[in-house]
Amino acid sequence: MEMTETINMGNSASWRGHRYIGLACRLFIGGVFVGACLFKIKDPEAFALAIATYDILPTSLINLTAVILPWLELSSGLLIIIGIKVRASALLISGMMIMFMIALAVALTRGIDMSCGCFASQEAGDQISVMTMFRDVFFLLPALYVLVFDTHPIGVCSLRRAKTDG
Amino acid sequence: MRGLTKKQGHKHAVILILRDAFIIIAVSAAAACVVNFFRSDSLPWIAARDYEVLVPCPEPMGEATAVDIGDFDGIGIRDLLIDARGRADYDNWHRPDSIHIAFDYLEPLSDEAVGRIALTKAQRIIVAGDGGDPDSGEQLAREIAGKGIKNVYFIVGGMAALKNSGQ
Repeated sequence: MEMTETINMGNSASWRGHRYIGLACRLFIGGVFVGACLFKIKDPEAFALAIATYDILPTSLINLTAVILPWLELSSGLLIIIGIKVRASALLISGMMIMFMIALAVALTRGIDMSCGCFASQEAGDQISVMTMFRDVFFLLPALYVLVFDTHPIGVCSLRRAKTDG
Repeated sequence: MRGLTKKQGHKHAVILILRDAFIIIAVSAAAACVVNFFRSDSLPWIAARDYEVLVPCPEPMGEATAVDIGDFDGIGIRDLLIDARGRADYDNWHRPDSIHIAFDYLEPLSDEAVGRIALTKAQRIIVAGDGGDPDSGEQLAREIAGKGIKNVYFIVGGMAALKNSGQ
């Protein structure tokens, strides 16, 4: 039994509608993350270059980040879509989004003329701007919603639980 | 689960979420390392040298009008002539009625230089550069125009053309 998904968070959190709104949020943000990781997994060197362009991480950490981060995006995205470890995945996605937003804010403050490297390589992507930051906020909100309110998520775990109980 | 108070339940849920998140990170990292190890274009764990990050040069943005020296009516009292050539060329020879703002392909035009131009209140800003291809005069003129300054012109052929015309 997924204890994390059965604890009642209070009256507002126990509303059953959260499951359905949460499902929509999960499909959206999970799709975004799975879509975003594909080019990074396919071409880790291009992603490493994108990370290096931000000029935040030391050289020794760039490759390690370029190798691991896309797989973390993939697993979090897939898990949140199918409904396994949903709130942990939402936590990871929220954490990654906040991390991306901090990197973006630093790049914007420094006036670095670059692509965000979120969905495509440096050459192919659009230039970063304040709109990119708003877009990231738009991605962060559904993840936070799932983390806070989706305590009984629809998905593999809930189906398994229903089968066991029934 | 049963018998836990609400507060204990919350605490327990947070701990389990963190535990699950840690497991996902560990499994993802392991999968990433295995795949990277076996792929033909694998990345070394630590980059051997710094990445060569290409930051594009600042692009001049505004529109400046090209003036052929044959059609040029000369530098008037209300005009400002800007010499966009490098320091060495300027020191070698320059018109006494010009001011020197060298065009730099890497450095954007400074606010101080823009302020200096604006303070002259000139009716026309005429920029003459090295006359090359690309012409530093044209680049600087477009950059000045991009900063919001109106009536910016550049002389085709640059300062050499202006000198040879005797104007």
